[in-house]
Amino acid sequence: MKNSNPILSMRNITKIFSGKVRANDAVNLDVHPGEIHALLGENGAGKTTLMNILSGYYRADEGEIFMHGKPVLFKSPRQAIENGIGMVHQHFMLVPQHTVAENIALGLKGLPFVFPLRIIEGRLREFVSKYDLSIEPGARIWQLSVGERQKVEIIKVLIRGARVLILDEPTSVLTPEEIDRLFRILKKMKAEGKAIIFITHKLGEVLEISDYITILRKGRVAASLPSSAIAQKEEKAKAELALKMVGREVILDVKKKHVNLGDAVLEVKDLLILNDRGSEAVKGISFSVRRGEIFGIVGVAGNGQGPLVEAITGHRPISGGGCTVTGEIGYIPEDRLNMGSVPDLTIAENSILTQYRNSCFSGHLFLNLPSIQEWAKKLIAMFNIMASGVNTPAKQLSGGNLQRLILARELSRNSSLLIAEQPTHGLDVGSIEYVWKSILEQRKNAGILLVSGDLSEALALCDRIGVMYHGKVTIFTGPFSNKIEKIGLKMIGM
Amino acid sequence: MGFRIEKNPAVPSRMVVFSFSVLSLFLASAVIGIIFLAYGINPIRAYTDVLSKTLGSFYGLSEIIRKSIPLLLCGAGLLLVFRTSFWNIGAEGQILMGALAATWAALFSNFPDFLLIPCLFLFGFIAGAVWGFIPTVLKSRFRISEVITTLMMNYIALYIVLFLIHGPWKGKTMRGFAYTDKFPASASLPLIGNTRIHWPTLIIALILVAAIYIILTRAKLGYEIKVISQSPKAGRYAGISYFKTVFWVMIISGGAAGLAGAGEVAGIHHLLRHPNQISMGYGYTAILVAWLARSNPVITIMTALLMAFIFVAGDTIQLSFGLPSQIVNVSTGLILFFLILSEGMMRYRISWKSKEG
Repeated sequence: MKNSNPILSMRNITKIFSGKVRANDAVNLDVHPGEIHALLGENGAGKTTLMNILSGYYRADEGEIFMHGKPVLFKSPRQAIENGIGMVHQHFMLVPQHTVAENIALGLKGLPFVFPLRIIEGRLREFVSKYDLSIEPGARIWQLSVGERQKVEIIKVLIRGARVLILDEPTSVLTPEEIDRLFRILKKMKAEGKAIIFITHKLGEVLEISDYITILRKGRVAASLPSSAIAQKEEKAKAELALKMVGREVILDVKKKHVNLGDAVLEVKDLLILNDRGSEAVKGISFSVRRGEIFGIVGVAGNGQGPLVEAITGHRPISGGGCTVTGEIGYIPEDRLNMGSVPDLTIAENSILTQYRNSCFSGHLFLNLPSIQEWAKKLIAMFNIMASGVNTPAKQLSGGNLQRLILARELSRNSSLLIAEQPTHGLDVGSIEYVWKSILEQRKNAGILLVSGDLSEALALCDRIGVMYHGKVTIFTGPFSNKIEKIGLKMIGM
Repeated sequence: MGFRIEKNPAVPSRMVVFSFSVLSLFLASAVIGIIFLAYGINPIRAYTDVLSKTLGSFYGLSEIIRKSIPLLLCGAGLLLVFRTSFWNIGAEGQILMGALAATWAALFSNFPDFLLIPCLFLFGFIAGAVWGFIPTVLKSRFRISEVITTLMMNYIALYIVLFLIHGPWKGKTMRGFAYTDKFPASASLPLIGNTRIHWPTLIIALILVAAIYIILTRAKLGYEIKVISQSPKAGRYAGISYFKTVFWVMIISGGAAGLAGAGEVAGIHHLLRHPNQISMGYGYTAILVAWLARSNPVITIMTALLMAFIFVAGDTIQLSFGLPSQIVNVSTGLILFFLILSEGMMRYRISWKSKEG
């Protein structure tokens, strides 16, 4: 396969959002005809941004795209489609009330004005038999299952003449049988000489289906290698791959003072949690966190970490087992913009978000505005928050300063358990160090549950680490230097 | 050179809002002028006539203030509800229930005379609040959209009033008309001079505006409203109960509309009559009063007066020129149309740029 010329090359693609966030940083990608190319990476690694550039939704700030060796520039999705690039989005773009044929006809060029559907239905049958995509052209979208809707999206892309298909996390919504069926279709298209880019963060299926793997991390290519390089039995190589995704390149040296351990502040026993669709997201896990220790929860996103935190903080019902928290919880949520703070409210108003009922800040009916102002000023001074004043809206703060504000608020609550969810995600180096220092400092008063998608962060800070995979947890006790491989394997369920 | 219309991210300044509103009133007047011309009426004469009979006359001015009372009560209440992102379309029904409860207090309760007027307002408030509270329960228990339930409860209120005035409450002294009996003198609100301004209701309305201003700026409830309306997720995080907040807000808003209903029957009609003559569409117009005031309750005083002016001007046109009553609706419709249009236009700007790229 490597003898053929690439059908598609992306060279030094860089995309910068709002002047500072490098979503893609000098990314190179080669895709050959008849190849299934897996694009791996954590949430926010830049996979979707890169594919949106390829399919014409975004324009790259730097770099070039070549099709068959010729440079191309896509100003719109339509131009990308005309060049044979088709994207199947994670969230389907279909009109539920319309039929399969009508949805496929939508936006398709070269159809006659009258009776276009007959032509569509004819061509549809052709694709259906060729790829074994049993689907009824007259069925309405809302009647179809998720797997069938995905087939419609794939046909939509194929009928427009796509030679490069991009599938954005195609398996995340499918049942195991539907995944099998999808893989059979993909293999047929591969045999036809089509190139397929398969975006995912599930390592297992990548090894099953792909010919080539590119791993993105923090907007850069962390690794690019043929799948055959990872022999099925070589677990070490697989672990290496998992570690590339979560980043272990830098073993960080963080000075940790010794803190005496106290009583357990969080006790989780045989905990069972259902997700929104009613299936088990957390399958009977047990662990405890003691005052003075940092317990890390790591794993590839979507293995039950979210529901676990929601259950501990009381935002999701528990379906079995128990979860006991001693004292109050301080909680630094992952979504600092819409959950941890209210962007349009002032810094002062945000500084009491979780504590406004406290008698220092409000009486029975009214807020104590002067003491809230005092409080916000105190937090700004104590945590070195760069702000023009306590009455400016929180949305004017930079990411690092907003996180400091949330940190300041949650650390000052004298809670016995601090839950920090992705506390340094997307922050600059200075802010990261500050957050780490503050969390380590907090061990004097509290036990800390650190949920992180960044393994190097967990390795540097935690006393114990629980690796989550498919709703189960495996606990490792530090020091971790000789356990990294095993942790990596657990992250992919081996 | 070409131009592009793009969204203006900046919040429009007060000056921009004011000038756009004035401009839209002028544009609406110009279009209404065309309709006058079609009827062979000189629009300039018509407008001077309308202005002299409304803003230029004592009676006209007093009528504007009189009609602004229910608009202010309902509008200020609705402003609070809309700030919470709860869409109460039911002020019309809440007015009627307030009027109904006040009528019961006036005619059938045996309160001593000196307590009658306070009781009448109290009953009006409670009835409106209950009518506003039912949709919050339906939403919290069964997730039924409040837009549907508040709107439909307007019709329930309307038919309850119709049933009462045609049936059990039909006045024995009314010679077969579908009215209740007249209220006793002790249940009639005092008026200012020989106007129809029932000043107790006006004072209550102004107190309500002040109270809502205080709620929004310094009360715990106001803080909760701001958090949940701008980020429901942050609201859950902070442990704010959406339904508890909406419950209080709807008690205030429904109760305010109920007060307006009580004021109308006790101050103007002195009996309960056909619902359309009591609520007069105040409950729907109040949505605009709240909406044009944006988020500042103090501005509702101005927008309520503006809407009341449009009502009174419409009546004048009808009386002075003998135009069909539908013309009044067309005119108010046009004015609102231009006001809403200006609201949208304020959020956009025209940017000039060269065509290349």
